[in-house]
Amino acid sequence: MDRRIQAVYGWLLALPACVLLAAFTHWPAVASLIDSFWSTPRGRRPAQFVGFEHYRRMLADDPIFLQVVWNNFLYALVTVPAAIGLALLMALLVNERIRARGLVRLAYFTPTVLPMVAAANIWLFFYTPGYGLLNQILSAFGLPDTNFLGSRDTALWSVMVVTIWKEAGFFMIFYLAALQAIPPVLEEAARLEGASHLVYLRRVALPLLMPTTLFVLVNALIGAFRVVDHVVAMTQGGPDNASALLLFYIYETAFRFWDTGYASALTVVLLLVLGGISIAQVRLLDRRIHYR
Amino acid sequence: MPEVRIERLAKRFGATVAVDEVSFTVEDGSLAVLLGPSGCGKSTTLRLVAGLETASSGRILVDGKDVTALPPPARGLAMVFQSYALFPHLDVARNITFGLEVRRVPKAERQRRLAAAAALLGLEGLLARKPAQLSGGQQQRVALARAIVAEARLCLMDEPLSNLDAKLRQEMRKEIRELQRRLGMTMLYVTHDQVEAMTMADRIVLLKDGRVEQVGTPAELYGRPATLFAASFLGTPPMSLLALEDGPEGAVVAGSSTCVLPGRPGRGRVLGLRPEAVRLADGDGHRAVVEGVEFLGADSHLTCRIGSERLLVRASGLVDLAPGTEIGLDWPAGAVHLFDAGSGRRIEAG
Ligand SMILES: Nc1ncnc2c1ncn2[C@@H]1O[C@H](COP(=O)(O)OP(=O)(O)OP(=O)(O)O)[C@@H](O)[C@H]1O
Ligand SMILES: [Mg+2]
Repeated sequence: MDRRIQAVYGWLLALPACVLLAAFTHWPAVASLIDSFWSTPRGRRPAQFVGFEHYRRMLADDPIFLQVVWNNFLYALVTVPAAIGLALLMALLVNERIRARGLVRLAYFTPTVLPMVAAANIWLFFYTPGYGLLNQILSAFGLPDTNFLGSRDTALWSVMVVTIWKEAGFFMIFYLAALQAIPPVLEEAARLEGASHLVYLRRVALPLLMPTTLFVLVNALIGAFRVVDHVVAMTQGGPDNASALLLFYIYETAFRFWDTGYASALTVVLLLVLGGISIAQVRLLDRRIHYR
Repeated sequence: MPEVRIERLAKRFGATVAVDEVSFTVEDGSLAVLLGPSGCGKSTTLRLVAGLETASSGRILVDGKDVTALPPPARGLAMVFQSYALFPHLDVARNITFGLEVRRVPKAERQRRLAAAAALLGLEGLLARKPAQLSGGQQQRVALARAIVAEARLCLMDEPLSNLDAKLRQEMRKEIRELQRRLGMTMLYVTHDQVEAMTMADRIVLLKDGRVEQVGTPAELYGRPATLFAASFLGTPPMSLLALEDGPEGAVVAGSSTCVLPGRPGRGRVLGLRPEAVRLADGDGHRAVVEGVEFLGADSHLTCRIGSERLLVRASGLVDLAPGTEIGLDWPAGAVHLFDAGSGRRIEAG
């Protein structure tokens, strides 16, 4: 009897979380999958089953989708390694005995506490043609004015810079924590064995940071497909979809063009990508290099 | 193999003086132990010799060459850390040859030295393991092997045995000593364990509060402690120290009329007696009261009281005396150590 009541209590306590998770995560995912096989209902025309039509359209008839996937791929390929590399560099730097170390750490970390939209707005100002900070610097060197966000060649790269700037500080914290977990006696031992600081970093510190790198890598990859606030705030995907990312394209398809059937199919693709990364994460983290 | 000379070496951390004008010499091919209680500056001294700390003043000479300002790798020494400092991501073999790889020793030579060191320390079966897969004693051996393959002229050890259990510690003590002798290494060894120091050292450097209290062979430190601190630090059980007073016929033990040093002053002096030097006297002898007996098998430790002072007596076999029994104690004149109570210095006969 007692046990039954306890079980009821248990379920009641878990209920809110279960309901929220089911209503806002699991059901939408399943619904998207189902919707992706149906056409978008328009006016008095109800949705019709169209099978894989949406997926065929993606690959065969939608150059924008291909462009967006390519953009997102390039975006991940550049921002993830760059942010991680920068994070590692900053962590190594602020882990040294430098002056005003606390202040430098704070400075590096500040972008992280800003919401992405706020960061985007700051950079919007930096990028402004004419009197923006970057163009003022350019003109000081006698270089021509550049419309960073308005030109096809620079828009995506400009967005990438914001991402790197914002993410690096966050990843730095993980590296810093990992670095401080390495006993200082290891460097002393390495030094006595004739290793310079650089050799120590390469042969001892970096290998010991591998688990952290893996963790950060997966998070960065997921972030690269999941965060588009800055695209919305800065370029709206433009010009001519040059800076559109997959999630942004889904958003536009669903809520600007109200093509919900097609948006569902796109969502399924995104879910597959994220699911793939997550599975890789679980696998890799399970097998990750265990030292202790 | 080098001789190491430390000359008036000092190290200050802000206001704290960790090492205060320390001088001593480690002879070529010998093993010197830095001994002292926690916080007396042993590790700091060792780290200064290693070059991991920079000296505030003083000099370190290796083979007559001043190395005080040299960076650690240029000093040609190896070090075994208390925590072993093995690289957790490298297997045992790579841990041992780490320094050789860094110094670009050719592969064949590396393998030769690795095989020799592994054989010497019985690590052959463990070369592919990571440090986390080793027991404390095995890790200790790996750290030793790493120090040996460097073929360094000088080896420093900071409490290398303190993480091991008593039995293993005893074995490793012997092994390290043997290794040091066989390879003819000059070794500077830090410990706070006086038994370790007594059994291993050619020379003991006894430190207290950053200063050298006494330097000498284990026998010298045990036989003629230079200070009250040295007297109480070495020996298990330690030397009994009895405050003296002036009596009518000479120095008496405080709180009694027992004259222990006829015709000599007692006030402001301390009498030191090793427990094994004191005998139970049958007839006369100095009167003492038994306070307790501890039977240890081979011998018994008697806690006795003379006046207001306690002293320990070590008698062989089982001694069956009830607390409160009055007994007579006796000791040879040569077993008497005298110290000045104020300065703590030894007073030579007189
Ligand atoms: N980096 C440091 N900064 C400030 N003070 C220090 C530092 N290292 C050591 N000290 C101080 O110097 C003194 C000697 O320290 P040291 O580590 O040499 O002692 P030790 O004899 O090795 O003691 P133990 O047996 O506990 O290891 C101590 O009072 C310690 O607090
Ligand atoms: Mg120490």
